Amino acid sequence: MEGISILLVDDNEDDRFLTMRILGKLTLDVRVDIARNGDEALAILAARGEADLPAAVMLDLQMPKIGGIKLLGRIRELFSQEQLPAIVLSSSENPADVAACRELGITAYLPKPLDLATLREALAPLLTSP
Amino acid sequence: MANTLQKFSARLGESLRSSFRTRLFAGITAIILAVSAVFASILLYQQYHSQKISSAHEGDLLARLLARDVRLAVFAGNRQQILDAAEGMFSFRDVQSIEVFDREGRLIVRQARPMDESVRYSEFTAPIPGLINRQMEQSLLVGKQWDSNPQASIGAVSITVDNSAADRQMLRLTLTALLATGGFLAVGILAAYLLARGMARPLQQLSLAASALQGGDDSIRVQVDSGDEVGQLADSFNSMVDAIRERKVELERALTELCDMNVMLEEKVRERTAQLESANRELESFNYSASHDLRAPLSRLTGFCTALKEEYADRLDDQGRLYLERIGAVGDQMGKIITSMLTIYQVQRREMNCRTLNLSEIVQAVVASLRETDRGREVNVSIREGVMAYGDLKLIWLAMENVIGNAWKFTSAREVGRIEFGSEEMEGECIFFVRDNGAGFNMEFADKLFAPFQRLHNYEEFPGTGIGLAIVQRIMARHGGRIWLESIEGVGTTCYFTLPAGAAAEQ
Repeated sequence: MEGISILLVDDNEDDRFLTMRILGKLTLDVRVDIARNGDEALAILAARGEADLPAAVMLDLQMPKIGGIKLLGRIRELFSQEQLPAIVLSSSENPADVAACRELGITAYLPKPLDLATLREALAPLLTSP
Repeated sequence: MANTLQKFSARLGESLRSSFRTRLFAGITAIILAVSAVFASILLYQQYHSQKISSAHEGDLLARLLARDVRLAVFAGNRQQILDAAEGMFSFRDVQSIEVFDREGRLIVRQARPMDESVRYSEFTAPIPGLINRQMEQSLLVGKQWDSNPQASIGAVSITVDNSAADRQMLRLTLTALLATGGFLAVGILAAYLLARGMARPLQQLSLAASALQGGDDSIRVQVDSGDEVGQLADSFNSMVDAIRERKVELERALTELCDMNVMLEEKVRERTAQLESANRELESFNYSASHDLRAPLSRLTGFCTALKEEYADRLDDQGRLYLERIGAVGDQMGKIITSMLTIYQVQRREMNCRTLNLSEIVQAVVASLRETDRGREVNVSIREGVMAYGDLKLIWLAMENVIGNAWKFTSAREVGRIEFGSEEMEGECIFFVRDNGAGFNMEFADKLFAPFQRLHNYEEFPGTGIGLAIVQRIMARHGGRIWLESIEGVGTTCYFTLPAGAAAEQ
């Protein structure tokens, strides 16, 4: 079974649970690192280093302190989209937010609640890449 | 000559009519002229009369004196004595000739100076009485007794007297009188002129002051020190000017106050408008963030609902599964409401990009998409071709989706629905309409139509968020247009709307 490593950044426990549940339904060996906020996410990435980056970072936009877009900005300062693809999870599709994220570089902008089909579609290009 | 006279009299008449001073002067002059003429005439007449009387007296007296002097000589027939008497009488320079007649009227003696044709002479005769009684002696100087008994006379005397001295006297007197009258006239006219000027000047001043006042000079004053009627008039005029000035000042003050108040009011209106705008913006951003914030928990709810369905549906009975279905449906409904709220925000905030649109084509496309999603319906749609409007494509499209969507929805109970789109001209304005044969509504509740989340029908009967018309109204308002509905319950509804016609010509 193929394995994939994902960093999930979300401040809300319910959202984390629901996202984890869908991730669990993938027929993949998914290793999920969980960050409850932007600082934790950056700490985890720093700890793992460039050589051991996750296959993707899935992040929520509405978070206290460092918001999703700000966090994405920090991440993009460190790693390019090719190095670390990002998937945004948001319950609202604010055009301004979508535009800001696309500007910074994301693979997909997925609505909450996440459903399996959409997730698969979003992850497909990451799995086929070498 | 006659022409000149006519002109002069015309000018005089004009002057008399237009100038108080001329009229006054002419009046006083005429009175003085008349009075002095009358007085001079009376004086001259009196003088002439008394002169005449005194001359007559004098002549009579001379004649009588001569008659008395020559009585005895005539009686005696002594011619020499008569001549002496006549000689004596001739010592009066005015006596021109003396003639003495006897009883039969024969000329006895005649003494005469050479006649001067240019001189006026008077002749006096007296009888020579035979007897002179005492009574006659007494009446020698004054009285008629001398001539009372001509039968008793023994002759007659005739004396011709030169009147030239008296005439010269009379002429002198006349000249003096005329001179005096002339002087009186001159003085009188001068006085009249001064009087007229004195009276007219304050009036003229008043007139000038009134003109100045009319011209806007409200500091003008008339200086008249006399206490007469003209002086009172001047005082009244001055106080009137004061009153006018005060009124003007008051008026100006009131105007300034009004202006200040206007400025204040405008300031206040601006302030309030700014407050309202900021409140509106706050409300809008609240609406926006509330919508977003509501979405997060809603997504969790739907997420858990899906999880429950997927993992535990087989462990629930039919009732439990139904509840689950219903929770899901309610979540969907809430999602739609939140989307509508966001749509209202976007409608308000959208930057308009207006151009000429073919409304007919938009309606056509909306109907086509409704037919696609709701295939089971039989709806007759008639769309007038080539109806043009000027507006923002995205907003107008959204409005048409809502208006046509409503017509589509509310005709759902009809076996054959009917929807008509068109436009009509009314009082120079183009009014668009969408008419349906749907359920209609009671016009009593027409005022609720455009309020968000107000519904006139049951959700089960005609589902919807109740926000569609609120969105359409905002879109029309943003274009400067209007929207209103007319409906008969059970018969159908017509939705009318306008978009500014002027903008269509802006191309």
